[in-house]
Formats: sequence, C-alpha cells, structure tokens
Amino acid sequence: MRAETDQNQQPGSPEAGAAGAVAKSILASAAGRAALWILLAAALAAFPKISSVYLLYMASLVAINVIATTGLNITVGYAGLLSIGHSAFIGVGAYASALLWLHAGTPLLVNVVAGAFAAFLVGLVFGVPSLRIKGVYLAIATLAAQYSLYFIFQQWVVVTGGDRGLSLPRTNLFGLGDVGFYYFVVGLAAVLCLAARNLFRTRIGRAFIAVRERDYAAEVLGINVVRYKLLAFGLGAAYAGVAGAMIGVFLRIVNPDQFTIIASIFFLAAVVVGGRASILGSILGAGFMTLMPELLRAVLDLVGGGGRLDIAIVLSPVRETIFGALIVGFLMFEPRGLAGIVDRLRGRSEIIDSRPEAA
Amino acid sequence: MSNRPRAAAIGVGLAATLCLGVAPAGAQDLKLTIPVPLSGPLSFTGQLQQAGWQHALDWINTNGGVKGRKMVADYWDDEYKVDIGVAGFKKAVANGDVIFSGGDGTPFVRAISPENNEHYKVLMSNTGMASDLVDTAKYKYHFLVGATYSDEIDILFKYIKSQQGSGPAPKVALVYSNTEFGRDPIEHARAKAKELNIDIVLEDQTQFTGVDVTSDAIKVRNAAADYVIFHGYAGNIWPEILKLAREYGVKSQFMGTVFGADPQLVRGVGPAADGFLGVVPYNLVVKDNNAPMMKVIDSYLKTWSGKPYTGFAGIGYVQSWLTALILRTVITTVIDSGKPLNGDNLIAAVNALKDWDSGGIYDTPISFVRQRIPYSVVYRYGVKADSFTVTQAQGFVRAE
Repeated sequence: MRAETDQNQQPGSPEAGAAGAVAKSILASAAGRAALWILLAAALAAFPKISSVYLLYMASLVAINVIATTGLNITVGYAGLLSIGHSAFIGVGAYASALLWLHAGTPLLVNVVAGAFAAFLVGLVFGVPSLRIKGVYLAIATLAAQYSLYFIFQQWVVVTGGDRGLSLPRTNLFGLGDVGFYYFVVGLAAVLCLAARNLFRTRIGRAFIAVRERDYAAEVLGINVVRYKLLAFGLGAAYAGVAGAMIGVFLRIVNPDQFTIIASIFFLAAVVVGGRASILGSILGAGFMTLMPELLRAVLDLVGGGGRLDIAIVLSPVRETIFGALIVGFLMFEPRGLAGIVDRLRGRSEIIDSRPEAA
Repeated sequence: MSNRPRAAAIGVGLAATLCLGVAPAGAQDLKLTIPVPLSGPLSFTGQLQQAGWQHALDWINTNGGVKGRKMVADYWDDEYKVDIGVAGFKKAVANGDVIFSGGDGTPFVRAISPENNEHYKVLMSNTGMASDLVDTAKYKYHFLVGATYSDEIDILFKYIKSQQGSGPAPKVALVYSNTEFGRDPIEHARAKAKELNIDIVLEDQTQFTGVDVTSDAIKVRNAAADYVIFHGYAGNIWPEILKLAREYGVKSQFMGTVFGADPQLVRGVGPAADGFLGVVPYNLVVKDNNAPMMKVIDSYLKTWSGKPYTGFAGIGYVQSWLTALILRTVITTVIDSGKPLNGDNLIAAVNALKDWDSGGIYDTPISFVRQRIPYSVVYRYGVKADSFTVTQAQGFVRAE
C-alpha cells in the first residue's frame, strides 16, 4: 500500500502548497466549480476563432483520442482488465459506421451509435478470456482480438475493401465544415467523459472497482463477476467504437493499417501516462500522446535553426527517444500519471481508486 | 583617413551591384512541401529522399532556377503516419502558395486525394508506387515518378517470355509480403500470367520482417519453378529465403522488384545472390556513367557526407532528382504559356510531356501514361566474394 496519506507530510515546494490551497478553495465551492466549467466550455467554443486549420485539426484529433482513451481506461484502469486489443475495437467501430453510411446513407449519429454497438458486441466476445485469466496473461489473450480483427479487416475484401480500405464522402456538420466537426466531436467527448465519470458513482462502476481489487471477494459479496467483466470490455470497446466512427469521418478513409498493435500501445500509454482510473487522466493522457510529438518537433525545429535540413535528420530520431524517455520518466517518478500531478497540485492526497492493481 | 570614404564608396557600390544582381528574394520563389519519413519504419529511405531533393534543388537553383525563380522546399517528418501526413499537408497548403506537395506512401495519397481534388487542388507526387495510382479520376492531381508495382511485374514477365524461346510455359513462383505493398500487384500478375501463358506454380505470402523463413524456403524448393519473384520487401525475409533455398540446391532464377532490388542491398546479401535479377525504375549506376544528368548526380554523391560513395544511387534518391527535374520542365511550360501556376495547368503539362529527355536517368525518352512513367530496366547482379557487377539484362521497356 502506498503510504501517502496526509498532505502535510508530503514533500513539496511551498509554491505547490500555496497553489494547491488557492485551487482547493476555488474548487471547494460549487459556484467556483461551475464557473470553471463555464470558462472551460467558453474556451473550447471560442477556440476555432483563434486557431489555424492545423490547430483545429490537432484539437479534433485530440478529442477523438480522448474518447478512445476514456474507453480503455474503463477497461484497464477501473476494471483492472489489461487489454492490448483496443485499436481493433476502434477499427470495428470505424468499419461498421462507414459501411452503414456507404450502404444505407444513414445520418451521422445513427452511424456513430451503430459503430459503438458493433464494437460493444465484439468487445463482449473478446472479453471472455478475462473470465479465466488475469494480468499479463489476459493482455496476451487480448492480442487475439488485435490480430484476428486486423486479419478480418484486411482479408474480407468484399466488405472492408481490404488494404485499400473504404473512402468516405465529405461531411458538413452544422454547415461549418471543419469547425462543425470540431464542435461535434468535442461535444461528444464531453458527453462521454461525463457519462464515464458518472458511471463510477453507480452500482456498475463500483462493481468494476470491486472486481479490480479482489474479484473473488466481489463474488462473495454477490457481484456477478462474469457479467461485470464482460461489461467492462464491452463498454470500453463501445467507447472505442465511437472514436473509430469519428476517425473515419475525420480522415475520410478507413483502412486496416490505422488499427495495428502500435495504435493499441499508443492508447495504453495514454492511459498509463494520463493516470489510470481517472477521467481527467484519460483527457490529459490523450492530449499528451497526441500533442507531445508535434510539440517536440516544433521545439527541435526551433533549436535546429528553423528547418535546416541536416539537423532535422539527426533530431528526428532524437525526438522519438525523448518521447520514450518521457513515458518511462512518468512511470518511474509519477506512477499515477498526469492526473496524479494535477492531484498533487490541488493538494489532494492519495485517492483510493488509483492504487496499483494486484498482479 | 582618406581611404575610409573611398572604401565606403566601394562598399556601397558593391552592395548596390549585389542587390541589383540578386532576384527579389521570397516573392518569386516556387514553394514545395515535402514530407519524408525521417522516423518510423521507413526512416532508412527518408534520409535518401530528402538528400535527393536537396541536391537536385541546389543544382537547379544554381543553374538558372526555373526561369530565374528558385525552387524552395520545406521538408518535414511525417513518421509514415497518415494522420500526421494529412495534418502537415493542410498546414503547408493553408496559405495557398504551395505549388507542389510530395507524399510519403500511398495511404497518405489516398487519404488526402478526395479533399485535394475538391478543394486544395495542389499538384502532388509520392514515393509509393501502388497500382491503383493510374486511376486518374481518383488521383487527379497526382503524378507518379516511376512505374507501378504491376508495371514492374509486367516487365519481369516480358523478360521471362523473351528467354522462353520455343520452350514450354515458364514456371514462376511469386513470394510476396503480407502487406499492402506486397499484395498490390498480385491480382494483376495472375491475370497477366494467364494472358502470356506463364504458369504460376506457387504464391507464397510471407511476413514482412522476421527471422524464420524455413517453411517458405521449403515451399520454394518444392515448387521447382524456373523463376522466383520476390516482391514487397525491403531488406529482410527475401535474402534469408534466397540463401536457404540456395543451400537446398534450388536452381531457379531469382528476381526482385524495386526496393528489394537495390544494388547496395543485393550486394549485402552476398554470393548467394549471384546472378540475381532486379527490375528497377531508373538507372542507378552513376559511376563512370557519361550521361549528362548521371554525371551531375555522381558529382553530388561523391561530395555527400551522409552516406559513403558506392557508385550507385538509391531508388528514393533518384526519384527525388527526377521529380525535381520534371517539375522544372512543367513549371517552365506553364509559365511560358502565360497560364496561372495552379494544379490544373501543372497536371495538364505533366500529361502533355512526350518523349522527354531525362539526361540519362532513363536510357530512352519517356512519356507519362495515365500519370505515371511505365518504364523500367532489369539489372543482373554479379555478386562474388571480391567483386560486384551490375549489367543490364534487359534495357528500358514500357509496360503499357
């Protein structure tokens, strides 16, 4: 058990303590919290006015990744079921919604729901190994989802278009083009994050956490472990399905190479870096993983002298090394991830939910 | 003291001359945006591609530019990822002053083409040679500087037929990787083989990378084909299959396509690759090559510190050179005609190129057919313990 209990005993700089005190006081009052939410919503709404095409693109991408990471966090962080097949579920959602759109011409929301539902069903199926095995063994079993679904995406050419994939027509949401898409996906991400947060105030969410801590104890207490483990997979996959549907609309293309194991590891890293069992962690983790490579590239461009070519060749691999080192650094020094750092700044002590799972 | 005003006058005079002599910088520059895979799975070729562009643009700009205007390129790393490629493209063309975009692989081209066709209309090319790039409606502003993978297989089949004489139908084994790259020409190969009365005795889909190729080598041995074609690999898998098959005493003629037939790569495989045939889209032998452009390329390679000089140029490197030279020609054509420098006029100029002289990169004058250059040459590699030779087994022919 981690021994951080009383914040007074925590080592920390006076500035962090003072900042924590201020933050705490704002957050303590309901009015303060409401004001912060309104401020956040206003900032998100105003963002397209001040951003370039590129920044809007990155923001939309971050929002999609937030949805996917939140789903994975439900399965891995809250329910403690390690899954390396997440991007395959994203693929299921992408293909399902794309196919429905191409063949039935249904509106976007219907496609998104269809994608989520298809991914949910597939998630239930591939959640079955979790009933028998745990931890890293379960992780390997979820690789089965990753590879078998990838195989289907590639080989079922008549339906999925094989390697060439599916090309999707343009969308014009709210008549605002790219900006309309941004509003839609950010709104969707906000709704889904709120839903996830509220899930863990309900019986289902508490059951997930109980299953994560000691599943046999949960069983003894009357929780149907089978149902909740499968539900954890299904729900995580459903979120992935929504993200998949959105990425299809965003890039206007769906092909198997978007849903490889590298992508699964990307989302797992987002969960770990952001903070397991934390919705804020999902948001921060997705943002970090999506934006950090771009940020590093921009920084190295400046250092390298504004795109001078020879230096760029050397610095590109360095960027990858730095990125990897950042992830390892997080795991070593802040196992609770970015959410843990935020909590520390807010002056909160350890939260029960984010204890490391028993192996 | 009296020298100072004099020196100042000379200085001002020199500065004035320089200012007059230099074209107004910036405003007249022709802007290109070039994504290259500097990190990620294709980073081994990214550096080559970028060097090719740098050298080519340097040579063009110091030799009069394009009607006095300089071609200026912005290189950036897209990590061979589609979403980063699309993001970077949108960022680059946002100002509307980019006249050409490179591309890193066919997935990127597929992703950006619908929007480019409708909205941005920027002339583009890319380094992947997928067979469906000849669909000029779908890839309206894209031109491929090279032949497609299906073309390469066709040209190998041409060679095979030329060796047949009056003998029985040649038996061919196709060994390809389980990637899009590997699978791309296979369907076309089947149809073409039927048409040419070539007997495909084995189709073996393998991993793209890996260590154990025993089962594949055994399949090759059992197939007992006259020819074994490797397609869809970089430097892994096919050399191992080749070496193992030789150990098993397989006597087939081994052949490779494009990136798997790069001279340096084949040389590195060793004596097992002696007699290997490779179909490549351009002349890659620069040493002692007297053709004008090849001499220029040779001089740049000799002075380049990025890689040791071998006497051969890489495919990605030559492709960059060739794209730059073609751009110079088509941009000149469009400027001369008085029309605006936009995607429609530029791609029309590309399509109108007939019997263009590449200065030795191709042995024959070339034309674009369905927005690609369907010519390739077949090299025979002589790999011995102490020597390495590259000769033309079949000169440049057209696939279509």
